[in-house]
Amino acid sequence: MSMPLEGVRVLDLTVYAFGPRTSEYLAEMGAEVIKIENTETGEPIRWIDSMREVPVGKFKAYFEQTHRGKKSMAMDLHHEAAREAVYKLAEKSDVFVTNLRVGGLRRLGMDYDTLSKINPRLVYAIGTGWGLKGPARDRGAFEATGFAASALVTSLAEPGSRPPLCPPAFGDYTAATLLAYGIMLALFHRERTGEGQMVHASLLGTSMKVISCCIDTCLVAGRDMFGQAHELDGAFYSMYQTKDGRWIQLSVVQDYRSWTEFCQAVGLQGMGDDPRFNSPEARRENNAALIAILDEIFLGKTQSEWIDVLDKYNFPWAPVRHFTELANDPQVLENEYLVTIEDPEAGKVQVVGPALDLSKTPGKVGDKAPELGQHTEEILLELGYAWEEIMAMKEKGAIL
Amino acid sequence: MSGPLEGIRVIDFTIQAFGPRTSEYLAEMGADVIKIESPRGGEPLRGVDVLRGVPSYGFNSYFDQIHRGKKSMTLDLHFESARQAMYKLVEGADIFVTNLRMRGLERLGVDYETLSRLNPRLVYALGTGWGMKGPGRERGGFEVTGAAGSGVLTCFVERGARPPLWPPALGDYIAATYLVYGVMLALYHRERSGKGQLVHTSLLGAFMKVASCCVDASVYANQDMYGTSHDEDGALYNIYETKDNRFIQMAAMQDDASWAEFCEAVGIEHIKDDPRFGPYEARRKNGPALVVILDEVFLSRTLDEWVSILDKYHFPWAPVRLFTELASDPQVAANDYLVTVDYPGAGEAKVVGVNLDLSETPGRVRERAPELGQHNEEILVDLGYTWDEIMAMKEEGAIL
Repeated sequence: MSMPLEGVRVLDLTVYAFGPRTSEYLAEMGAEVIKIENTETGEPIRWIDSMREVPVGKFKAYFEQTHRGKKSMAMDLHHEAAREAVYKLAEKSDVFVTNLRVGGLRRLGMDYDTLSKINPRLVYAIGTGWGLKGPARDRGAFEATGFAASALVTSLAEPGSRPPLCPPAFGDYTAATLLAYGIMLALFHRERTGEGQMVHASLLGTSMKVISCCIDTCLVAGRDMFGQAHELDGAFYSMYQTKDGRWIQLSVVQDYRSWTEFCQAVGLQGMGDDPRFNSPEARRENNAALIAILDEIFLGKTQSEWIDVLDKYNFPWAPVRHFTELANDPQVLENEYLVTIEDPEAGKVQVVGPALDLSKTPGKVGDKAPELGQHTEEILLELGYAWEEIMAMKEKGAIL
Repeated sequence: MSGPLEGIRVIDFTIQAFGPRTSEYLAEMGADVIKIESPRGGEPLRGVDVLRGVPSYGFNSYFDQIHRGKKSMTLDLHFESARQAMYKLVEGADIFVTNLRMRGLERLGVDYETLSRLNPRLVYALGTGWGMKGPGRERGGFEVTGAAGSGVLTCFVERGARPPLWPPALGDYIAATYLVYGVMLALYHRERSGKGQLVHTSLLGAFMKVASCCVDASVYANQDMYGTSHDEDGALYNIYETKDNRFIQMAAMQDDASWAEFCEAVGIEHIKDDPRFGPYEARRKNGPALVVILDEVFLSRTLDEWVSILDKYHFPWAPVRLFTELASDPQVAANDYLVTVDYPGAGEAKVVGVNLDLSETPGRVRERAPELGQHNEEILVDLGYTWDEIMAMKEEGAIL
């Protein structure tokens, strides 16, 4: 079975997370992705040794999952010879992905104006922190700044309390998803017209997009939205603590439909007779009392016991999982949301799969991520460079 | 300049948020989207008048922002006449989007097998809660179930602490972004091969994907990742409270150059060379002590004062904004991350823009969301129905 991006060549001049995740999405769907790294350290994420106290062992998970299946060229773009090589590659590439800063790209001759003149069919994708315009466009950014500046993070905390820090890479990967969608729109347009173009998304813009439900509502009402204390939650859309200090998330929004089923599931007796709870309006009015009752019920069993009980019910509920538990979760495994790969150093490792199903042209988790500069020679030779030219570039330090 | 999806016809058989957001992405890029609703009430979100305590004041943003530019047709697919009309629509369509449950789709005769036989070029996009396989495949999903079931929720808080309540629509919109990327992959493949296919992702799968940095590392190390504690976090990548009980996100890097700039910006030059913080290793080791110092520094000024001071600095930082403040944020305005719409009856409103830039074929925020069944007659007449046939369908209740 073929893959949707077979034959598509992507030039990758990215760092950290937003950029690399964008082109990795394309790699998973069959594109050939050539990453250009600097000759000193290469991609900074190669060197991360731990995140949130979870250490990196023989398997560099952070680096692998955004570089699997890519090729690596190590080149110093301050050298004319290196830039020329990239221009030759750009002529034959379909997509260029970057999240370097606009000023830096211009200085290195890797801006949209330059590359689109070399190849008018090129789809040039750029991810920024704050947008291409505006007073903050030159400011550095990390995903946390996008979540803060979009107000997204205030909706996770009660008014006046410190908002949480989001999980690592979560914001970057969300923005990468939107940018990848944009790349595909541009590729589709190019199939129909032959025309390339620039595609752009920012951490700020994407955060606003995914929280747009709250933004639009708040702007019309002139009122802000915040997180909510448990006691003020809707009783059926809240999280309950279990006997073993774990959590069960309920999302029974259509409570009038699922109410009977729900009572049966959690063992709520006699609710039909209790005037506080025997109608949707009554339940809404006595929400706090209902929460208190459910708090106690859920504390009566461990999370595993609750999972066994609730498993046969189809109203929306979920165990609040820990990451390590995903490794044995049948739902995760049967849908191949984790797949097992064979890493030459670490052996068998479970990693997140494509998680996006295409029935005729499925994606796949690529091979191991490349060593720094692993494919430089191979690719230069393919471009028609002679060995002497390659050696000359090495000697100058233009390539590794 | 028209959008990249001009001429593309989408049949939208979705409800709530995951499905509608997916097809709204396509509408923003110029596609012709026809939403099929039940004659009795239609899309459930039409009736939402308050969201997390914020009332809609007659302009239902939640519904509007994922239905703008769509046409609405009511069809009760329990009626043969309605089903036939649906099949006629599907024959002439490029994309079908749904997030109804699989068994329901089968019963109504609009599952993938049926529709792909009618139209082998159809791209059939399905969003589920938990995946198409596995013991939980029939369980209802609501966006927060993705965050819970993937481990993401636990990564917002310290071990054992109650995770935050999830904001409205955030989970659905993140998953929709991934699904729409898949739709474009399939559309691109169809340009090259002539073949349609089934595209699918789930809330669980999409969340694991955007959290794959955490998942892969935790599963491999067999150690879970959690949220951070303000006091023990890195001092330069942390959230600080200001004098007026607001918050500011610092996301500066730890290297020496950034440290010097940071000290100048924040006014702590007197400790720049302090042996506890000057050298890089010491700075990392003494993070908690630095947090205590910075706590006091940030408490000495209001958020606005800090924003004025930090404005000219380029290291990553951001005010933790409230939603209502976005309306006067120059960065947001400069990039059109909010645009003004003016709907008869509702007046002017600021709403989130496309936030995805394409230089040749930009998208746009579309015209007002349709009334229930607003386009019934127009579409049926277009399909070749006579007035008598249309009246008959109305009389039996197959359409509104």
